[in-house]
Amino acid sequence: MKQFRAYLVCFVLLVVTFNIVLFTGFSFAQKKTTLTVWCWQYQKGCIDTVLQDFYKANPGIEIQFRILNPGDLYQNLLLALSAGEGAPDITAVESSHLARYVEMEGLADITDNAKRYYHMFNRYKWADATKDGKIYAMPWDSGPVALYYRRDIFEKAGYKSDPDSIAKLLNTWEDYYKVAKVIKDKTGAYMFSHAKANNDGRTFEMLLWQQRLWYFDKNGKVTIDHPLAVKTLEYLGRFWKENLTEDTQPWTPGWYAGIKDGKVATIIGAVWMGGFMYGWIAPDAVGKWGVVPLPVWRATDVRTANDGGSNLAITVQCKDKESAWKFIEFITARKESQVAAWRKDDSFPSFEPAYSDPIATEPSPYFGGQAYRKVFVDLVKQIPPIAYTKDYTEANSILTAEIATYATGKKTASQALKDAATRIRQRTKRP
Amino acid sequence: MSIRAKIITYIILSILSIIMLLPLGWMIDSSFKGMDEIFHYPPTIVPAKPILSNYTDLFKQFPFGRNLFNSAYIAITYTLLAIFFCSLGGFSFAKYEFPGKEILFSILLGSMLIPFEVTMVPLYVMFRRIGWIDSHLGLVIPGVANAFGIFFMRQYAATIPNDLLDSARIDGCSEFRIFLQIIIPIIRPAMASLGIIFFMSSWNNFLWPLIVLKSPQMLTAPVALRSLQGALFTPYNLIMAGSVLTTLPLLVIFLILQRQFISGIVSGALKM
Amino acid sequence: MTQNSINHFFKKYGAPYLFISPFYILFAVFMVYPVINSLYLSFHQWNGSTERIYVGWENYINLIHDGVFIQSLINCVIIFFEYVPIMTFFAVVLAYILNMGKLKLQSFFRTSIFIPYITPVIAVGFVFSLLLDRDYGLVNLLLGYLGIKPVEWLLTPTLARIAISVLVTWRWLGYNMIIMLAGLQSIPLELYDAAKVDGASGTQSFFRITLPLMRPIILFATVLSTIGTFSLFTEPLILTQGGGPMYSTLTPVLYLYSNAFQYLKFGYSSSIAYVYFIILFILTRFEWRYFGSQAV
Repeated sequence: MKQFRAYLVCFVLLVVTFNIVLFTGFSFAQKKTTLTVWCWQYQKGCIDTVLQDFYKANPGIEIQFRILNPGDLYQNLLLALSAGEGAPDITAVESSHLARYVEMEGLADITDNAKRYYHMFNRYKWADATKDGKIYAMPWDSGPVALYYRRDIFEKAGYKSDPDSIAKLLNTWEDYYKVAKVIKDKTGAYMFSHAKANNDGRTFEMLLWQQRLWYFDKNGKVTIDHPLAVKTLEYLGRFWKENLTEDTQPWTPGWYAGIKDGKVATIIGAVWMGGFMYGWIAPDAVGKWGVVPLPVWRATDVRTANDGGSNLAITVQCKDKESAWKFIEFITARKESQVAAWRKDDSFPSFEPAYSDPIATEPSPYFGGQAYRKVFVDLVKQIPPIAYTKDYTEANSILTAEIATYATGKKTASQALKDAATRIRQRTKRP
Repeated sequence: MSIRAKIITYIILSILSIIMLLPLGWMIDSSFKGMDEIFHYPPTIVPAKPILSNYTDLFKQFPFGRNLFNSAYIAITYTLLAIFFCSLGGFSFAKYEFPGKEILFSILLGSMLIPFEVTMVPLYVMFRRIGWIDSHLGLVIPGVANAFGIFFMRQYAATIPNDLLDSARIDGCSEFRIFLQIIIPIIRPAMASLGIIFFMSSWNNFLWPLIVLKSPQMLTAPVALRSLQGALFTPYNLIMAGSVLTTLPLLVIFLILQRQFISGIVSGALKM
Repeated sequence: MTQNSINHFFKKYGAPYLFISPFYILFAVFMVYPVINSLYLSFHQWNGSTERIYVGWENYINLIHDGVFIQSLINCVIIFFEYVPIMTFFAVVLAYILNMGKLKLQSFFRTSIFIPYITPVIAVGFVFSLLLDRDYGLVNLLLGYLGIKPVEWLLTPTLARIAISVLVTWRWLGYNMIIMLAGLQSIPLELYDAAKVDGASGTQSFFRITLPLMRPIILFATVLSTIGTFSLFTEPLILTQGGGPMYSTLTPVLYLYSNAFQYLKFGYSSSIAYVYFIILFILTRFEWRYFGSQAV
């Protein structure tokens, strides 16, 4: 019996040791790097199109994704970077929020790796990704803005609905306003959607951007109360006063329904809006939409602006920055990756070599046979280089409140923007 | 009361009850509707196309089961620990004399005047330093011996006759044993009342868990519901299902232990 | 102090000190220290990671001139007067009715009026968002039957505040009713009997006996409502995304939260916390003085 027991003990010890060796040996042999990535569901979808290719090319890297809503991502990232722990290795960040994280020194300096790509991306995207000559993020997708229009509504109002005719028809914003009245009369449709109280200010921002105006000028001075900005706001005011816009809060079921049911004739929106429309907002409206460049006020304005657009960055808390670089390079600076995302969701590449892909000139049944992507490719190169700056989120929230006071008739446009400027100066300590 | 007055009273009370219960009913109702039916004009009272998928999707897409579990075990742990420590403290203030008792008790009362929000930011910074961010410890430990509970239990403990304690002491019982074997059985009803109040408040706690918890699997149910709110799209159908599940345990516990809960609130109020 | 007397001291008082120590330890660590730290932070500018910069009274001075903060206080005052008087009055009336005891279904009514209080605020917030939706909400549908056009519940400042008031009333009516019931039940019945003998009617007894004797409990409920109103956080956050149209439903606590956790202004938010504390203190003292002293 004693002998049997001795053999049993030896056997158990052997098995245990074997397992330990196996386990640790296994993990020693296959030392995989795990990278954590924070992004939105939409961005994950874009990444998924080439994720397997990435794994094939980089067998030693494993990625753990955490999907977050934009608001949660930005707040959690802010707090984690401030705390010095809890941040992911890689994060997606919109250009509008990027400068803040650069400013707080939360993102890793990738200049050495990135500079060889500098001339291959939309130039204006670098404004928020760089600081003092160093690069902190790789541009991913851009948000060139154009005018989407409903062909059938314009036809009903008696206009020719092909893109060239519409572009001529809506040459200036005054033309746009006149046509808005006609459309409202003849079809009952609103020209576009702009909430009075709960607006997000983005339309106004686009209209400023195309005039090379912004919250701040190149010296950092607050310029939201510039006379031209006041004029622009008063222009929007005409639509509110004369009931030519749909008063619905953006990104709500009512707003989606307005687009789907043809209650609005146009959308002043970025390229990704098209993807949303045929993807899930109004997938049945095949053939009903078209795209033209924005109207302008004067010859010096550009017919586009930027709205949205993301970047990929490595945080300073990343322990394996070389592997992280491989990932963001693969997703952003690789033509195949960008084209795949473009094809899937109309995630418009910031990487210019992608524009030579045939998808750019493919006619789209949804947009009535128009090669609408080409419109954006032509427009993106004209976007004036304006930086969102690190104070964008706060400035935007202050502005939207003031726009609401103007839209609901509580203040004049000039007073509203003046108050916005004052508060922005107070909170951001800018001149 | 005249018959007419009675009838009017019944009508008013009934309407009021319906108004009070309507949102809950709507919540349950909507949890069986798809998004297009929730946002349908005109709104349907009874789901035209009832679905169960809101519940299954909620668990498939999010670790909501884990979130509910977190809420439950945090609330239970907190409640058990808190009624223990508060009973102990209440008993001490009720049945002992010791130097500085007056001052210490005033401090206790005074502490109830300090709103939590004043401590919010420094607590967050402190938690960061001690690694309590994204941990459940910070939701249980800080409030485990709190002024309200001690104050509450003191009233009940005071009603215990001193002779009971004295005779136990003569028999050689340690103070702690006296607490465990004599006090606790007597103040059990009060512990139940306080326990429910604590359980409810822990389960419903929102602001502090919102600040402290980060990873999806660490969230409590209320915070998890909030995280479902998106920028482009808020899945109200899933949120309604989640809301029903978050409310249900409280409802059940309340309906079973109504009397204790209400008597707890009443005595808490009367003693202030 | 001899060893003996020390031993004696511990033997006599050791137990109570030990038993109450958990509270004081937690109090010192999780309340006293943060409160002092908060005061310290309020005189600095700090983003949570780089060094704290001493700025003296600057945060407080900016706060006094901060239109948004002042708006948050005004919002709370408006909301307070929108619902507290009505709710408190109805709570008393309901308690009175239910106290008369001869109603069938009494416990059903009491329970159903109380249930809103125990529902998680989050769930309530989301449901009310749906009910008050301008285009798809049940409330506007019902109002439509009465011939009222769709109300823009959460879209104008006035209506957004009213929406919050409605939500809060719905939620706290039952709780206040229970508290009033408690107060009612402590009024000796002999007083009513004596009044009846003197020929007083039901209404007269209500106003001459009930209300005055309920003063302390009404005061208590009012103080709770005051604190509750100024510390509103979850309801405005869910219903109006934390601010409402033109800051109309912003509350001091919401503003504190956003300054700290969205803008990393830890110093400024600490000063908000302190001013909030002082305001609450003054308000509750005022209520106590004014209403409490007139007790019978």
